[in-house]
Amino acid sequence: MSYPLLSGDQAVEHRPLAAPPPAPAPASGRLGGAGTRLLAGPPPEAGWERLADHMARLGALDVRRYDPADLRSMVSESGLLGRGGGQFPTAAKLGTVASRGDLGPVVVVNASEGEPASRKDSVLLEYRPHLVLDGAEVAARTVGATEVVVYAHRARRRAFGTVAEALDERRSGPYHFRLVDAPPRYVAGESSAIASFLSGTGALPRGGAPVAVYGARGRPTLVDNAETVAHLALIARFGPAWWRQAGDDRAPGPTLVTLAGEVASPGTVLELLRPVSVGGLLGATGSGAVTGPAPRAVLLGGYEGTWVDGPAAMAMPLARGAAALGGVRLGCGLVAVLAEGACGIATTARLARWLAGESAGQCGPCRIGLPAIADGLETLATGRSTKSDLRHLWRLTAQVRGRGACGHPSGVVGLVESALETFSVEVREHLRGAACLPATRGFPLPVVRRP
Amino acid sequence: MATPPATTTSSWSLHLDGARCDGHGICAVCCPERIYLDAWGYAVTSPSPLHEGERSLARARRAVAACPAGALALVPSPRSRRGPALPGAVA
Repeated sequence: MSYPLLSGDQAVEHRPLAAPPPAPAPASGRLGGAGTRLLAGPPPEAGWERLADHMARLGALDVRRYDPADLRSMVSESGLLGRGGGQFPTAAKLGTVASRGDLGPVVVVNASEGEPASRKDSVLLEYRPHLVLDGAEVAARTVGATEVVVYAHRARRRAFGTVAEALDERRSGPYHFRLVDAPPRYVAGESSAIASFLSGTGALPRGGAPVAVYGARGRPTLVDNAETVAHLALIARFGPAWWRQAGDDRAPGPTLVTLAGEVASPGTVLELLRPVSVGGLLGATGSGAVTGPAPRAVLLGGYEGTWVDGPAAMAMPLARGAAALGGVRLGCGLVAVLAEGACGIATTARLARWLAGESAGQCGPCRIGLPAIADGLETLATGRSTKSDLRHLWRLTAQVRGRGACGHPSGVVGLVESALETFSVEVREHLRGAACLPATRGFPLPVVRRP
Repeated sequence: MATPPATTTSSWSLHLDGARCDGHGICAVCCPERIYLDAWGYAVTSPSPLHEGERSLARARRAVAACPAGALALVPSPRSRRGPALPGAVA
């Protein structure tokens, strides 16, 4: 599918005169696939889309011809929710920063993708960098910023290199872009940590005023995930009504997911156009097909996401809004499949140990509590826990939830509690002395750095 | 997400900056009805508002003043939201 080209005059209208046809499309699509929005365009073999090709396909986007208030109402109508994990309404953030537009706001495209197994933001940067950069210009125009920071990890080399080349193609643009190498820590992708880093202090989360009010060097700062920003580019071009044809009412628009774990091709990034069950997702897409027997469980939303029992996940409608109905957030869009026979407790113990090491170490409950939680899970997984140890573990999680300057401790607690509930059968076996190792095959385990 | 109102306020809530709290524990002695210490000695504050004229507010002010780490503050209530500055977004 290709987008209709808009002439310059039509672009001033900033409503598509001929809206792109609704996708008679599959529920999900991969890069270059029919019906896709973000991933539409040339297939992956063609490499990243250069500025000239991007403009030829989608039409030029001169954001200076848009009225900021119009842009804001378009985003508001779209109902776009942030795609980084928090699912915060983007229009609200834009409004807060725009209301302080006289204080020299900064726009940050958060492409750090600190989730080790997630690939969706990297895929966008590697193949459609100009869609992200267009969206950044839309955001900058909306809030009245002249400075845009692209915050990405140099370690994700192809993504970082591609966006650097793409920025070279835009030297003449109206906005001053900076590509900034994000420090290597899970919490370094949190919005207040980014603001601290750009202020010249370490990438440490802080409490207090939202970064939209008081951010980088004290300026109001819009921190939006790379996928969120790419959606802005489509909404500004083709209008919120077209954009809302994908997704569902609670969370409109298409959404990207990364498949990981016990699937045929881990690391595949797909664009969901409407709610689809995990079973449908894994079955319908060749590369997603479950390779072994039915999975034991699925981890949704990243390492600080939620474990869902395999059969329940197979039937659960997977969309930002629909999944949120069951209390499960799609978060960063990671769908990680744990094979039947693999131990979810031992696997979660490894995740918890890694996440404990990723703490910035500022807040006591996080610095002390997370390693204690990881200890408790490891003891349980190796069959050395008593019932009273398990009760102690639950007390620890309750004590850590909601504490600290950022969402990190709460995220770990959410993961651990969902593991204790989802893997209750395994927990009972461990209490009887069964010992397990983490799933080494078929699950994306982080490498724990020993201090 | 709104900024705290600039007008004078008659109700307040305790705000704890978890990154600053070092677990001295003086606050929990000053204002035990609103602040307790967890198993490791770090402060936990109650989110409910404190009204002008209440004795608890006076005790909370003492707790704020006594904190050696400067981790406690009284902010106008109702707070727009508890917890991290912006929800989620650790990814």
